Amino acid sequence: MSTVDALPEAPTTSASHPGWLGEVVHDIVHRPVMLVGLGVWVAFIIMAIGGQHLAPYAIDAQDIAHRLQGPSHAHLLGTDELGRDLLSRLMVGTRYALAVAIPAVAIALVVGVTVGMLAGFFGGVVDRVVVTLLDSVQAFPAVILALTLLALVGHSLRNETLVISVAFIPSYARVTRALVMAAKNNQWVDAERSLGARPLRIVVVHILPNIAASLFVLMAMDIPSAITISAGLDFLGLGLQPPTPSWGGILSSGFYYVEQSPWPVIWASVFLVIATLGFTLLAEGLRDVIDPRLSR
Amino acid sequence: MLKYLGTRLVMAFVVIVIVITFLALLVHLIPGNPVTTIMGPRASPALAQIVRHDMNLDRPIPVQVWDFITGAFRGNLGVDFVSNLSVTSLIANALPQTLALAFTSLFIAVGLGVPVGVYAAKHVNGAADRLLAVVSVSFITMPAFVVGLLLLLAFSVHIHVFPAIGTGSLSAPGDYLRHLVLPACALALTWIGYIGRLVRANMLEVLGEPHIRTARAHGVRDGVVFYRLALKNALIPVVAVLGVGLGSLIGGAIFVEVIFARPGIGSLIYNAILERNYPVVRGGVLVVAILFVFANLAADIVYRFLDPRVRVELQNVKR
Amino acid sequence: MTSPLLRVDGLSVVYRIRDRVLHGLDDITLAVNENEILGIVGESGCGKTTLSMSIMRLLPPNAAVTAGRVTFKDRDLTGLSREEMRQLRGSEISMVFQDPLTSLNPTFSIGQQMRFLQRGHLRESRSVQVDRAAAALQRVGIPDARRRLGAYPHEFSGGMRQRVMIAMAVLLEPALVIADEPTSALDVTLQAEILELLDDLRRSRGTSILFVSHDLGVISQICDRVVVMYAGRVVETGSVQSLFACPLHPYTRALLGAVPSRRHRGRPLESIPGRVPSLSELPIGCKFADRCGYVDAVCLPREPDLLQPTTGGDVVRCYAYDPSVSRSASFAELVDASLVC
Repeated sequence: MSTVDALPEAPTTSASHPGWLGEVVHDIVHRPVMLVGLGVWVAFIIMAIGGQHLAPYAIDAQDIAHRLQGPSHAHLLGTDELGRDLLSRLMVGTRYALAVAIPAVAIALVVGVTVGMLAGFFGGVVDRVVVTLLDSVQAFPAVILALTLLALVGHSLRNETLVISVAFIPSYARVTRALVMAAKNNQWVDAERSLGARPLRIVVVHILPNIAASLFVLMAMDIPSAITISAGLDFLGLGLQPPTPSWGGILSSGFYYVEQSPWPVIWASVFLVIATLGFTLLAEGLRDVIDPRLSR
Repeated sequence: MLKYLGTRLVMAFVVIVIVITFLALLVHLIPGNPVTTIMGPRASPALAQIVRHDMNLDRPIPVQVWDFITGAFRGNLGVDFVSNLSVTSLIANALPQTLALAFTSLFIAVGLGVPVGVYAAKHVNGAADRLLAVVSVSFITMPAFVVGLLLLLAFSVHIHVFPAIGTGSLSAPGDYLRHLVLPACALALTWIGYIGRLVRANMLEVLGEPHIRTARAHGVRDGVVFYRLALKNALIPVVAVLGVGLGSLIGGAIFVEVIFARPGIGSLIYNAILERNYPVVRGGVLVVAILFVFANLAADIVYRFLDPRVRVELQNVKR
Repeated sequence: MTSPLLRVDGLSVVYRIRDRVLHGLDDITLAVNENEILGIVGESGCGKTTLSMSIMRLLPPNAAVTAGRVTFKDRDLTGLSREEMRQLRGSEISMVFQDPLTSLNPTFSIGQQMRFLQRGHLRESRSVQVDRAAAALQRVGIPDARRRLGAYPHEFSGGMRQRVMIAMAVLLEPALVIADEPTSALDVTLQAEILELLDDLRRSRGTSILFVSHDLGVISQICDRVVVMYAGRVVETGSVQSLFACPLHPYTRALLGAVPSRRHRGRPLESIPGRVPSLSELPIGCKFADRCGYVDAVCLPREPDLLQPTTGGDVVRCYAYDPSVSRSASFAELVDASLVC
């Protein structure tokens, strides 16, 4: 309850009114923190797409004579244990980080939303079973689940992606389920039903657009988490294997040689932290902009 | 309340049974020969035979699952391939170390996170608050293993303040604590940021609630309003977070234990994976999952109990 | 004649929201005497709560007093330091709020909350403060008072909770209690009990009450005098008898569902057409002009001042009663109607 009389209502951005996209863009431009996040995203996507072409050195170009050196004119960030240029390897590493994280989250989204819709729409036994299964998946800390599955299915980029997506499925399923259940009780759904619309149509045409904004925000926040988990898996040697220049892998070999040169660990950490921080800032900004009610 | 407790326990139990079943079935769910899955493609036939026997892979699948489930309830999680010790005993040795690490991290996280959150709430939108917001977000997004590596680098390799390896001996508590500092801080950092933000958000929300306005209308001093009336309300939800935190700390400990070469359930599972010591992996993961489920459950119950509205219901039922 | 207990003179308050300025209160003048219950009545959004909060100096940070003064027992409240004002709150002036469930701290027992209140003002032993709290609960009609001190707010029923709030408000025997919609969240029977309780306070202890409400029925039951507010202004003031029998201002008349005007002949009289103007877009002249059944051209360019048309001390803000303004037909109709009673 407000102690103030008759305050005008703060303008809200609802995804269902026309012109909202323009408002969103306007809000983004006015938040410097979000612009930083956006900048990080753009930079990393360019690096991921450009790959080797943008990097100063070939990622496998060894130079044993100059191994484990710090930053220099020749090597902006220094070299690793085989004399390879750190900057190049880390830049190309972006590709692997995003190539795992983005598809993992996308798959989790598709599977999770489908499962959530089924549970929310049909209710009853279907719902109970789905919820119990989701609880079971979430009984494992994400890293442990990913680790164990990955150890058994074997390391590859594809497997790492799949395994990480499994860990994220429950959150999409739950959000979708909750929103579908809430929407089911809405009067306009009943109205549609009484007009004879098929359930699938109701769901796709009416419910999806309303939850799309929330799901989008969730995705934006999960991508940095996925990057972190995949880096962790690579660090433990259970994900992408050397000589693949994954960030986690560089951290791992950097750790092995940390007494001789701190630089691989430092720079790989920097890349990883900037990526997660930047992506998270953008995601939080998106959340504040798309749904002010959520920003608590 | 009691009914709620009962329902939750049953749900937790069901989930654990599913988890056990899943772990029992796991090798069979993965395409290919279960033995190859466990041992890797280069297993020798002799070794394969041993594995097949020890893991009961010859028997029908439902029997395997049933044996594992009943065994698990009796505390028998199988036998380690390498040393022939019971998996349960290995876990029993390793778990306390991980718990010590997790609890210490939680302690640090709360000890630093709560004051930070309260301070930020007291000086809302001031320079300090904005700075702390950025710092908190940074802490939250930095993965524990990166923090661990950097801390190791800074305070162990570069300046030799803290030890890099192992746990030290319990008979010298000071030494044991010294060995705990870096790993616990590494794990705690994320939670410091998270708890800090949570406390700040809760405080701000509570301060806007009508009962705070009433307290001010009663002439209660600002300090009392803030540090007693508001804070108590703000901290209650934090307890729920702590339970979840404990569970995920146990899971996250794996990185820190590897980096700092500490024994614990994390490094137990990790080394077992590297050695393809499947029974240990399976048993270890099961124990972690069970702990995680119970940590979440305990947090939920404690949180509800702390809210006087719920606690009184419970007392009324007893009467 | 003794000076009034509480005087508000020309009080104006604005709110700053982003880059906009809202006029919450404009030129509010009223007085509460000792042993008197003054009612403040108006629709939600008229500034009643802002008024209460201004008197208590509990406005949010984005609000500012731009003019006027509040005087309590001949002390200028607006000039007091924060600490001095804090000492007054709860001990000399206290408040009762609308919703006792959210207005009481859910995580402390009511006994503890009463101790916080007392400790803010008095240094005493615990037992003295517990005794006082128990006595207060008993006085407001809560049985088994001493044991109930350990209970939490949600353990009480709605009506009992409001009694608890009142007990807290009168714990230190303040001279003035501001009751902000104290019965609005209660059903009719509970309402009657609470009103009787408040009235009893006035009679037995001489406590003055500033009773804020949107409900005219409630106001008529308990108040001695009434102030009618609209869009942050006082539009009429008078004793309950004269105002209810004979409302002067068109808004008051509309609220009371009084005699129809020539212009609205034949139309049903349920609600006042139109809406309260938004505080950020107030019209220049009389704020009620667009909803008024007696409006005239003179009402639009400039707001009327508060006038005293009769000798009774009642004031009204309306050009119809302004002798310097030419009498239009609608004004004549209004004045004639008010002269009848």
